[in-house]
Amino acid sequence: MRWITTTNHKDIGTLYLWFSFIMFSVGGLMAVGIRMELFSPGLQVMDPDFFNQLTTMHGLIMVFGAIMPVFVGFANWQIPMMIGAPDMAFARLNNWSFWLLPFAATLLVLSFFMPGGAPGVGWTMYAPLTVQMGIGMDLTIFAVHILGMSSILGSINIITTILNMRAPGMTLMKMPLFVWTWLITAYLLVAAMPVLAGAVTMTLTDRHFGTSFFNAAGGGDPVLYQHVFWFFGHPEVYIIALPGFGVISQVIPAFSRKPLFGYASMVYATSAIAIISFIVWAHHMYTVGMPVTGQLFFMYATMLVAVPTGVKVFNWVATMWKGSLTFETPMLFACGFLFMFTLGGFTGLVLSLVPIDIQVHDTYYVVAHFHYVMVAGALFAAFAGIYFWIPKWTGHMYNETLGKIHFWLTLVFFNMIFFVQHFLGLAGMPRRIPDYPLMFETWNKISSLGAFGMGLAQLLFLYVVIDCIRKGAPAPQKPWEGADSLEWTHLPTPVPYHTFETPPVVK
Amino acid sequence: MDGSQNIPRRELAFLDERGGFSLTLKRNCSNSPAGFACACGALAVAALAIGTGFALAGAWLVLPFAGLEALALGAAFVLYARHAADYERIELGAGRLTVEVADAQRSARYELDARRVQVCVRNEHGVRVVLRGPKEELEVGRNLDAEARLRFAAELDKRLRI
Ligand SMILES: [Cu+2]
Repeated sequence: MRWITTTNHKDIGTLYLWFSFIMFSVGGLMAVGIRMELFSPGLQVMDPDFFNQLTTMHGLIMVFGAIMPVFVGFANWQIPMMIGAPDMAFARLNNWSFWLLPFAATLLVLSFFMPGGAPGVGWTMYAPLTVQMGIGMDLTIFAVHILGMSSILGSINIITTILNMRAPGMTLMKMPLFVWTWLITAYLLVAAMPVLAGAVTMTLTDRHFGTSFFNAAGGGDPVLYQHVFWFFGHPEVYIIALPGFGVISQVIPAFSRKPLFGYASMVYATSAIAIISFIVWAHHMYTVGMPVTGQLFFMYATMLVAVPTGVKVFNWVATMWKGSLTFETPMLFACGFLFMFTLGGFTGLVLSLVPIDIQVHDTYYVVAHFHYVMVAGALFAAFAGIYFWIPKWTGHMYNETLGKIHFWLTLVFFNMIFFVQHFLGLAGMPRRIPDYPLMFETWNKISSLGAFGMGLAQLLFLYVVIDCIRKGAPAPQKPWEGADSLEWTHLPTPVPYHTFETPPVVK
Repeated sequence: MDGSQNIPRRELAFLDERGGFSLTLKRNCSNSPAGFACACGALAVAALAIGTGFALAGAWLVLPFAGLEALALGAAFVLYARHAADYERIELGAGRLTVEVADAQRSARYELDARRVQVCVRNEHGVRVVLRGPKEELEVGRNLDAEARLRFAAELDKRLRI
């Protein structure tokens, strides 16, 4: 009962984190299903329609159910402690924002059991395919509405908390970078979410209420859907990535025992990324037939993203430069992030070039690219954050050796899955197909084996977490020598249920 | 509750030892209502502008959601800003205890006879400090946390009996 009615930011953070892990497992099982089918050419495990349903739900569940909630979990736990506030601004609203999620997730999973199954339209839900789907599509649309509502309520709460509840002396430019990245992410969510809600609502009215926004049969324009979706979709990438940048910006200075290099430029770079993210959306749709001027605009705008992102990568590396480095598990994941995310950024730059994108559009090159951003970017950052803060949250240290093994297994298997997909894509293998020509077999086998290994490696992660909660060694107040934000310097370990009821004074 | 926290406490600044004192208790708020209004307003304008843009392109169903969101932002602003400027001012001088309470839009001023006021600490729904006069009761210290309320009550009691 406590967990259902709780308004405590730490409880709600914990709920978000466990919910996210459950959805990560569900989405992960779907990925394993996909890779089982792709282990060999030909159809062996499932029929093609079910394969499409799996790719769709894998995408939706991982994006909305796993990666976004994990960072909201961090936000709930950390933002009040990092700015010296007693809780989130709207505590009851916070509880509602969370409990909308399991409801939406149930709808998503239920859609598999509807006549016609889950929608097999891809996570982008392109029209006009969506008009032809069964009732599972309606459940998915409803689920997306609820997820969007949860995100908007959560963002308004986060904005209110950060702007109004900082401790005396905690000026904006003294806030830990994690808080900054979340403030900017919340702005992005507020700006982008109504667009997604509108997109799926118009899909719904096209399906049932006789409108023709996107249905060409009724005079609508399917390309308009793509514009609407990607106007939300590209900022969504940064909604996922920015909090991860924030986590990395806490972890790297702590294990370099140096303050973050170029703090102000980090804030400006994050803001710049957020602003640019609204003028690049059509790089996802170079092949729909747009004027060359349009292609050039979106190409140059997209390349521009590399500038602030480059600033960030430079600052992280410069923070480590001449630092007294140690490589505990959080730092290993941060370094893994730094290498792998940068690789994903580079392939993004490659894809931003119209002539190249037209060649590799909708191939496994794209799949490889965005998994480097989503998995090696966001997921590695999430792992870094969990290992970094779990001593504070639970009062126990995790098993360092097992944590390191988890990192290395994840890193190796991740690259085994996705690095080879670059080759598949360049060789012309399209995405979202259950079958493929014989020439692609070797790389697909390696990729599938990597996926099974990656799945098993996450069982080790679950064991490490449970072992840490149950019987980890007691953690000191500040287990990481170089950590310097308020939760380490002002609060005991484990943190009490209520903290900072009287705000600390920040000098 | 969190005595273990090694936090510099805000001092309750009672003025000079002997005579009267003046004390203002405010909640911690790092932003002015006007500043917060700007932040919410800018966001609402951005969301509505995006919605309008799509409406012009034919996808008008984005706009109602932007509108709903603007309402939610407005509600957040009202809920927060209503109480952002709350304060209690407690003054003792020439045998009179004056308490000024600003709560949301309302502000009220109470005059009590300092010699006949009792400071009571009650333990219902957390610690509450109540000033009890012959006819009326008045809750004070609402902007303090539990621990500070106790210290505040003790100090106030002492001052009233000088
Ligand atoms: Cu994009």
